[in-house]
Amino acid sequence: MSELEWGLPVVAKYLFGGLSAGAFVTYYLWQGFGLKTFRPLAKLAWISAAVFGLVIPIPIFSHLGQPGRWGNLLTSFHWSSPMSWAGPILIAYLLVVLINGRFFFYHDVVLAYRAASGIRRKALRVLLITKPPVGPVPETSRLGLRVTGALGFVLVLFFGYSGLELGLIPSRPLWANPINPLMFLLTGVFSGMAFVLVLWLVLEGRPRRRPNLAEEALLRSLLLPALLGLFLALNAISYVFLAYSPPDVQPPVLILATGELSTLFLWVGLGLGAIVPMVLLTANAVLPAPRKWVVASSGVLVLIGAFAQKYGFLVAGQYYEAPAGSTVSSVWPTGAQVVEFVAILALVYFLFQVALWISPWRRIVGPLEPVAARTEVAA
Amino acid sequence: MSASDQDGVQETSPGIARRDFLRGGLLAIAGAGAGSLLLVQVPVVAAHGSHARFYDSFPRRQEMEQRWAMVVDLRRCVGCRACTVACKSENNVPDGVFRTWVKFAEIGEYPQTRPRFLPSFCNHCDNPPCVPVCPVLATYKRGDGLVLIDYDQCIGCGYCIEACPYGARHINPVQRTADKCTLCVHRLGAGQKPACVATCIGGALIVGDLKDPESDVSKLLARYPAQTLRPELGTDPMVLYIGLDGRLVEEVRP
Repeated sequence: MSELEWGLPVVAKYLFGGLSAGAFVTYYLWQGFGLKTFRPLAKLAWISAAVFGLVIPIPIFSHLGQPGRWGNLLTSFHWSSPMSWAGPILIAYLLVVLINGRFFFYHDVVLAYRAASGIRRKALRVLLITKPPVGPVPETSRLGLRVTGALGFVLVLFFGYSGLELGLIPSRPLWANPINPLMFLLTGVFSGMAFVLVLWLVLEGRPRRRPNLAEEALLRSLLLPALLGLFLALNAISYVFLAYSPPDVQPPVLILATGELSTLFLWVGLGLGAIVPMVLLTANAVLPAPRKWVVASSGVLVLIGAFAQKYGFLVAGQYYEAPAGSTVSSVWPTGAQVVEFVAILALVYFLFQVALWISPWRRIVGPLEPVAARTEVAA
Repeated sequence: MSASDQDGVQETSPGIARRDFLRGGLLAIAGAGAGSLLLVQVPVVAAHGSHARFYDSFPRRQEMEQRWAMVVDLRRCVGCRACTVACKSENNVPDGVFRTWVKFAEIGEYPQTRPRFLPSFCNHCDNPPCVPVCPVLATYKRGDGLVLIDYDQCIGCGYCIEACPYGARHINPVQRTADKCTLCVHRLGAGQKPACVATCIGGALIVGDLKDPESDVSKLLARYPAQTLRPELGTDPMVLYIGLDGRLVEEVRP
């Protein structure tokens, strides 16, 4: 009897990577593409991208048999193993995101630094990188903001490597699918976007207050349901591939469709986690007054669904093939893995508290102009 | 432009024009390419002089005197599992994992059933799927055909385990790295047979040099047709079976 070789820690790695990538894309929709609908989310989205980005390596370390040798990942880069891309991509991504934040938050951080004291002041000084200005706050470098933002966006696209990790293994017919990188990117983007929406509603939602024009535009945005729809369409294409795959693929597909993992993958992952929020968000967009609770609950469902989809897909792909001479005991994680995962979630919560305490994310902005028509088209 | 909105007037988004965005995007892609090249290639070149030399330095590129292969004559296997025990003992394989094991299946319909056995281990493929996926280049193919693991380099990520279509690899619970059959490379180097071959009571396991036409392996393969497991994957295993029953493969497929 043995545990699954790739279980909850690997799922956590994919989940946090996707959340960071999705949060950065949400931020970049405003900062890079200029979609004003997403302006209220930009600061929280950047913070989410940075926090989840910092957390990605933790489940990797807990999964490795020899975590002390992680440095080997940086010195052995080669194209044939997508896993060897992880080190350079993650390090470059984190550096770029942090530098981009320096440009994006510059004005706010300078003002906050002047007003802060103690540890917060020191932390803000580190975030400023350069010497704090005296007198009027100068404009931040637009070129620096653009270049680092675009670079971060390109690096986010490379996060598809996690889909390639599975897609390149021909002996696992469920995984060996050419659209896997795209699917992983897509689940990452919509789960990250859903997380930022939920965070924004929790922190600034004020349930009893009627949303202003900008908030209403965000609540009506069709981008998230459109991404969910695209994901479901790609799933359908994937099942067409599977229908024409060799018979080896049947056991893992049956586990997902009718077996032990069907409740998690099919009903929670695809049903509750994709179809229901897609319908709810679309309905919300056409209501005379969009409801905040609908968006919040849809976001939570998307997050739960993203976890369920990743777990089901990863575990089912390896279920029928046990390690040498042994049999897989269960498709479910061990108690130790669950404790570890909960501990990582607690760390994420703590890091968010620290990030929200240090960063000047809540600086009240002035009235926003009505949403431009092009925003609706893009959504 | 910064994230702040001074007096609620200042725009926080650049609202970049499409041309500017494309220009920036192209610059970013070029920068990413150059950056990644610098980031990942410089240490390699610094350590090995050039990329070509880096790959040439692997033992798999060096031709060796022998070309090891194993023939499993299933007509002779009695399913005693002495090979499993001998392997465990010789290589100090921990509890719960195996480098060598024997699968069992009953072929046919009752009462016309017959027991069949399938000794299994690393297939030392000519085109091993486990080698290219290893993120730290810890697993490699040697010039004599053996697929081996550098235990000091392996990080225990399990990618090779997922990639192996034969389920031949596992994480060694003691050393926390990938592990598998080495065809007793230490014994072969000393001119001895692997432990499983030496102990096989039916003489079903035969190891030899494919380059030597007088070796037992070459003679057997010249005389009898041999099959490999999962040939459709194109891995070209160096473990060949004589008398392999297709029904047996279906029954015991991992």
